[in-house]
Amino acid sequence: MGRGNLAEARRQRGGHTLMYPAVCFFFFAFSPPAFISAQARYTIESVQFIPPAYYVGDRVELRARVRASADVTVAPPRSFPKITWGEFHDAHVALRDGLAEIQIFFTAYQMGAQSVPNLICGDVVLQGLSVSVRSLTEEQPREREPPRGNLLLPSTRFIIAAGAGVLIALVLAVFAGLLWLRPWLRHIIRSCRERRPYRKLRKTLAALRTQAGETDSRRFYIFLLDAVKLYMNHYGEGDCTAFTTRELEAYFARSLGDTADRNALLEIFHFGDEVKFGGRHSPRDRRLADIGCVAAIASRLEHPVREGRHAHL
Amino acid sequence: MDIQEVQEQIDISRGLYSRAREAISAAIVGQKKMIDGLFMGMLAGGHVLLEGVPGLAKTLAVKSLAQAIDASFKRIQFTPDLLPADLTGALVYRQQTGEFIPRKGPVFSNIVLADEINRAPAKVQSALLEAMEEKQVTLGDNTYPLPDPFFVLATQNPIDHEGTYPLPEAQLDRFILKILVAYPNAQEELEILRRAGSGNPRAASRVISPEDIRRLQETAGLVKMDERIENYIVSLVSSSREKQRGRNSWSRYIEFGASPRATIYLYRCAKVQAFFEGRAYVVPEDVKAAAPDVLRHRIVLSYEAESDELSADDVIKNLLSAVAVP
Repeated sequence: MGRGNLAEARRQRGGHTLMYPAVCFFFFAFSPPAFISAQARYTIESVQFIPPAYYVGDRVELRARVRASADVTVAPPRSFPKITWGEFHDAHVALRDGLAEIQIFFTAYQMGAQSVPNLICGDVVLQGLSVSVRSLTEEQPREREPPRGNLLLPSTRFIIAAGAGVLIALVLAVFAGLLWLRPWLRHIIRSCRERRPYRKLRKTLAALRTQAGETDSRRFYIFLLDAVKLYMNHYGEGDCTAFTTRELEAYFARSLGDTADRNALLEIFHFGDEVKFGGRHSPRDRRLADIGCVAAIASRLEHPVREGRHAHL
Repeated sequence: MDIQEVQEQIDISRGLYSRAREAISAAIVGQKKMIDGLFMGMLAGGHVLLEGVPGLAKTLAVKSLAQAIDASFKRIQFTPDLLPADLTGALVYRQQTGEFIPRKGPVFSNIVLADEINRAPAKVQSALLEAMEEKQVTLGDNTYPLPDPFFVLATQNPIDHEGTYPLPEAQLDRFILKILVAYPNAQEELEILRRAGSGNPRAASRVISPEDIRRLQETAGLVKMDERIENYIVSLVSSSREKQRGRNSWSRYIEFGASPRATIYLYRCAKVQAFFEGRAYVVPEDVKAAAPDVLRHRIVLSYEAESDELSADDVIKNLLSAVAVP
């Protein structure tokens, strides 16, 4: 308003050059309070920044409390001036405890002391303000921390630890159980393994017994002697399948305790060789007798195994 | 022919064989294995290589065999300066008629003893190849058949290799058997001492003719062999050529396995072995008994075998214990 009066005075001075000094005198000597500048009608009670210490990138509130007369208009700035060190976001004006409270929000991106340009808030001008922007990286230089892990719900760690504990306890329990059962398991597995050749031999003998009258002699003794060799192979050292009858003789002499059994087996092998390679015929009775002989010898060999002792073969 | 008839034939022929064997045993103390090997080679229609240190009656055994058989016999001492013509003969110019006539060498005999065969150079050894395999000799433009039966019985010394020419594999393969001649035991050596001390060494008497040899060969050929035994022989020989390390860990010791000729010879020798046992059919034992002598010189050992100080016999032993017997 004051400036408008001065301009008008200048225009009047242009039209009435001679009257200018007198008019000026009266104007200034007898002017009413309306001529008093707006500055005189408001006072800025306080200016504060919230938070008081702020850093680069922080959203900061500039709060100015203005005591103004009723004819002074206090309003948010219509537009913010351009600043190089940051940006203004928005502004509000509120009445609180009889004072006008101007809230201007800004963010500074540049550290150090920066001057704030005049902010025109209606009739009130905030001027001569400066901000002091701090920087965490400059003030507290330190190594960059690694990314933090996910936040867990309360008791999550306890639940995980408890679950793992239960699992380990289960495994240990199973392991301990196996250790406890080990002798029994081993005994069962061993007896199953030991008796597997015998079961196989019995199965073969049973099949041969049913076909004793039908199969030709050569084929019969091929199956019979191969089955006996496989059975013996499981007990002694060396590969019986690669032994000739004469080598088996030496093998049985070393490892087969009962002389009668040994001789009976060898007799079957010798006879089998004659049938297999010499074309000798074998009657059904002879075949059945040989099957019975082999079964009896095998049964006698297996008997000690059943009682938990190794067969002496 | 029925197996019974074969058995009868064998029973008759075995008498003949026993007489010849006894005649040789009368001249030589011990060395049963060597004498059996010589007969086996002869009845199987092959040539035999005897390997042993000096003084083990190798030459005497061959001479005695020749004496026991009423057949022509020549001994050739192989030396570094021997020429092929010294062996096979040559065409000689006859001045009177003005033409070349063949002068047959010592190889034209029923039994030829090639003594210390590895002392002659390779060309002389090679001159024997045609004679051994084809049983004929070519002189000039003409080819002359060798007398039947024809056997080359060669000896060589496993030690004292200086100035010797190791037999090439091609020549070794032509020997049906390679027999290792071992030292006699103490009792046999005592008997040798007594005989030599008396100054009256015994000589083998002539008991069989070349015709008898042919008959024995025929009889041995009649011996029956089951199909499974034939397969076993093929498996044995072919497994010496397998390089499947997982299956046969010992196969790394073999550089080259035995050839199909070994299969043929093993087949023949197994039959002869069965004949020796007086059987009209072959059993796996016969194959196993003949296998070391048949395969010994046909398996070329690798460097690994040499570094592990393994002999061909060790490898054959592994081979025999790995192949399933029928």
